[in-house]
Amino acid sequence: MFHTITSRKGAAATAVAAMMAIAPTLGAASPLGSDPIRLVIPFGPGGGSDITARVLSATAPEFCGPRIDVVSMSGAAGLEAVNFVRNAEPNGHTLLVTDYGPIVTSGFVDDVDWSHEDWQPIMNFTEWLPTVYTRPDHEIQTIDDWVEYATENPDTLTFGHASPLGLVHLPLILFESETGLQNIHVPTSGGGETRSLIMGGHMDLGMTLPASIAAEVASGELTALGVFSEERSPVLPDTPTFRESGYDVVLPAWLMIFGTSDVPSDVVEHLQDCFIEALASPTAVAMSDRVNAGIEPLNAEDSNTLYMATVESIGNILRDIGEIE
Amino acid sequence: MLESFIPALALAFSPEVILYVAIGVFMGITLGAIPGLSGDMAIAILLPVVFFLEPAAALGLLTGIYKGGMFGGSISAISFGVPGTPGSAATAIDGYQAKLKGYPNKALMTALYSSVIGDSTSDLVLIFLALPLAIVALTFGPVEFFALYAFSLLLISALTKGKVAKGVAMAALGVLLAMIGRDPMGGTLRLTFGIPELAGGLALIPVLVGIFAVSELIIQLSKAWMERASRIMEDTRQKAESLLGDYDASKDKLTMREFTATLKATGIGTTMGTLIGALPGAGSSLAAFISYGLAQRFSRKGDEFGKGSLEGVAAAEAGNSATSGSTLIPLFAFGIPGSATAALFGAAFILMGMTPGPRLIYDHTEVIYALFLILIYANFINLGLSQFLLPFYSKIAMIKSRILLPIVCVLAILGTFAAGNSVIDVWVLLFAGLLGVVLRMYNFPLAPLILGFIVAPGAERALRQALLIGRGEWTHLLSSPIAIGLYTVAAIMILTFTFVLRDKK
Amino acid sequence: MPKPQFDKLLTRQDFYTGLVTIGVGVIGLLDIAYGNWRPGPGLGPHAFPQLAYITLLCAGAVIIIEALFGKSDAKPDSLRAVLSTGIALVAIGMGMFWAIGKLGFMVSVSITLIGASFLLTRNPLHHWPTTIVVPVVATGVIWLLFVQLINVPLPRGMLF
Repeated sequence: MFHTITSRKGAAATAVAAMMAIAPTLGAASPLGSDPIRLVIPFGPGGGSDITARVLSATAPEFCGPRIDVVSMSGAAGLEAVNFVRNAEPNGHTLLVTDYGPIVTSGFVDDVDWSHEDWQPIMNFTEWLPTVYTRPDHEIQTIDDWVEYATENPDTLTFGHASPLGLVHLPLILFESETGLQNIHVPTSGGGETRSLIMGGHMDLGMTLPASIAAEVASGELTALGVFSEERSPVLPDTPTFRESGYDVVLPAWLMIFGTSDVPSDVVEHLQDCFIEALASPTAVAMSDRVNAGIEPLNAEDSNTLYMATVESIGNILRDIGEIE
Repeated sequence: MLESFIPALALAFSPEVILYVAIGVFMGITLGAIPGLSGDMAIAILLPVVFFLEPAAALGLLTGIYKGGMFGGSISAISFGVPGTPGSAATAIDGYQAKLKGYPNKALMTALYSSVIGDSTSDLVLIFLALPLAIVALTFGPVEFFALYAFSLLLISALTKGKVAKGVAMAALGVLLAMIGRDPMGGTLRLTFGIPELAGGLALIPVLVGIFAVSELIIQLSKAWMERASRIMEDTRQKAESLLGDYDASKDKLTMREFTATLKATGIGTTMGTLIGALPGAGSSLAAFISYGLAQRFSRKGDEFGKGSLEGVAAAEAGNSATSGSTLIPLFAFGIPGSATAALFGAAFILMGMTPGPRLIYDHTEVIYALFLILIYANFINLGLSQFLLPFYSKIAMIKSRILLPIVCVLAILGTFAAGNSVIDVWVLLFAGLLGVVLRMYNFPLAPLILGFIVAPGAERALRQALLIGRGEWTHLLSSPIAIGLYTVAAIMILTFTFVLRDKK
Repeated sequence: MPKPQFDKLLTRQDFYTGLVTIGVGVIGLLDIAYGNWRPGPGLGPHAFPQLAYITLLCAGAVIIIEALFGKSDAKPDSLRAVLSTGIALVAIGMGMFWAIGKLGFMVSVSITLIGASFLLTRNPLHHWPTTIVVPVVATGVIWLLFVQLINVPLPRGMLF
């Protein structure tokens, strides 16, 4: 099955040649120069954002013009990447690919010299749906089990959630403030640690994004309780949403490409068009399916609406818990 | 299963795949030898390539880079006292002393053999014992991890050679350096002194390369700069000169007897490396230091550690390399990436449309069997290629220091920048170098500082998680037989060491 | 059992090393007691630093006691020379990095390397193959590796 794309291997794509990634021919009528486009991600290599960005960097050059590099800058908890893009020339060659953490949450809680309006979305890749899960031999197997148990025994269930105020922690806070439940929040170093602590029986519940547990849920090695989204996740079709169970808690996480707000509008438009075109190409669709990325691009305008809505809802949560004023 | 073995064999040994493995090993050795650059980074850069290669060829390339990088780091550790990768920092302790004493080749060969032995064993464990070991690894929760980290901090006494008080102070300083930045549990900033760039904390590579490598470079530079030599430096200078002048290559060959003498240390390193590698989150530098400390304790010639002991080189290098196979165990068994390397391999699998986890071997039997074969034979390619390349790299190490040192400095700076694409890392690198120089001048041992720095984040997280899960009860820390076992072993070790030390006085 | 040598204590290097170690511990503990530390889950963010400071305090005390009984390392030799080299390296390193953004990679790195070889070599012009040619060639190799192969996002300069 993985030979669909590898047919290009014949074109002498040796390791070194691929590394050099010699700039391809320029697309027609591009407002961009021949310098490479850098997609800066505020995380380490190998994660979901990195893999998704690489689908674009592998397919978009023939539509956009210049070659596209993915650059990982995880320094200063991601703020270094944000500042790098912020301080780069606003010509559309340096773009930020991020979820809401380093830009929306950091914009509120960190001491930064920019505001949320200084950024404009160029495209949204996908929406990730935070999912609560546990091991299959745990007594809690559904959302109702959880609510019932936590109501009877407040502050006894341990819940692993990666870094505080992150993508898979804020939904829990929101859920608790809606329902009044209390759980023990256990920060972990990330999804991998959460999962091994749950599988090893050291913790009760955890939250993650669907793609990372879809295979285990399908084979019965993990149970997904519910998804904090409006609709069910395509990779977890049997897992209900919290809304279906009567709890109106929806806090999906997106993955967007941002430029600074002073990038000229014709550049933004060109990038948006060629990115979306590239992601619709058969190669990109095949890659996206292969890596379970669930890419469904939104254009700049729709992305902006989503971005602004997220800024508002995250702001409300943070004000609620007294993190900001 | 057997019917997929034959096609896997054909796949793994196809000329194309072998070529990619060799290219990978060559790139890994070369990049690993540059301070700051490591196999992990090369794998990250090459990730997109797996889109365009056959899975077996791509995995061969990545495996080759990884294995080559593991050994490559020890080349610069031994040749210049400048560890090329975090895992080879412990190798530098004895390896560089060995070079100064005039037997760099022996040290390099010891490193190569122990690296290959550790690596191969670890690969065999991955292939045959992945599931049982992974289940053991899962029983490690916060309580057990805290016990393990506490245990490893105890080895500081082994890393200090009679300067226990200074060693303990350095470990505390390492812990403090690791605390800089955002508290990972609560999200508040601490010890950043109002510098927003420090919010993300200090990264391992700049601190490690700075403390060990840049400080060494500064001392060597000042030596090259000034003809007036001090007491310590005169020492090393004379040694260096005698090395250049009367270096007798024919005497600097590892004998069979010397090789067998290091086997016990290699065995300790291999065991510890394999076990620690299988635990999610522990890492190769921790494995190397623990192996080094234990090998010193169990060696008949423990006094020679730190003075160019080949056993020290073997233990550190075996411990470092033996993590390479077992670090993939949690990934194969449960889809949990236990280290940065495992995360990159996981990403490579995902990019090839294979989901890491227990289903991997059933869904893609051929490719995974081929990978197993590659993991084994890549070690032999590494062995052969390294033996072929070492004479050339050793010649580079013999270039006059006044020419070589500035180049190594520039490489260290650019390599550290490239590892995290961060200017702050360069600042941290240079200031860690200055700190390292001051500490060296006042005779503080550096290894405990690094151990404290590596262990502290995990230890803190494990302790705080354990107390959260145990609802603040300290007795929860003793709720697991594994933890009690580790504490007991630690207590026994302390008692034996104190009595052994007392006997010596 | 050796006797404590109070009279020689002030001449021992490790007496001062120990004092500095204790000093760092005390300042740290004062910071935790009076500084702006927010609470956090499970012991809070200050617990581990506090433990480290207390360890420093104790280790410093032991260092001084050992110095009292005559166990002390000697004063470092040529501290000033090594330290000034260190500071020079930090300055040159940061200067090179800054210059890469202004002048370009090739120019900055080759000037740095040539400059360093001139500083370290007696009669550098006489040894021009190693003080000029080697640095330029090395710059070329480094450029190939970092800029072309690894594609490091270095700032771009005016020259090349």
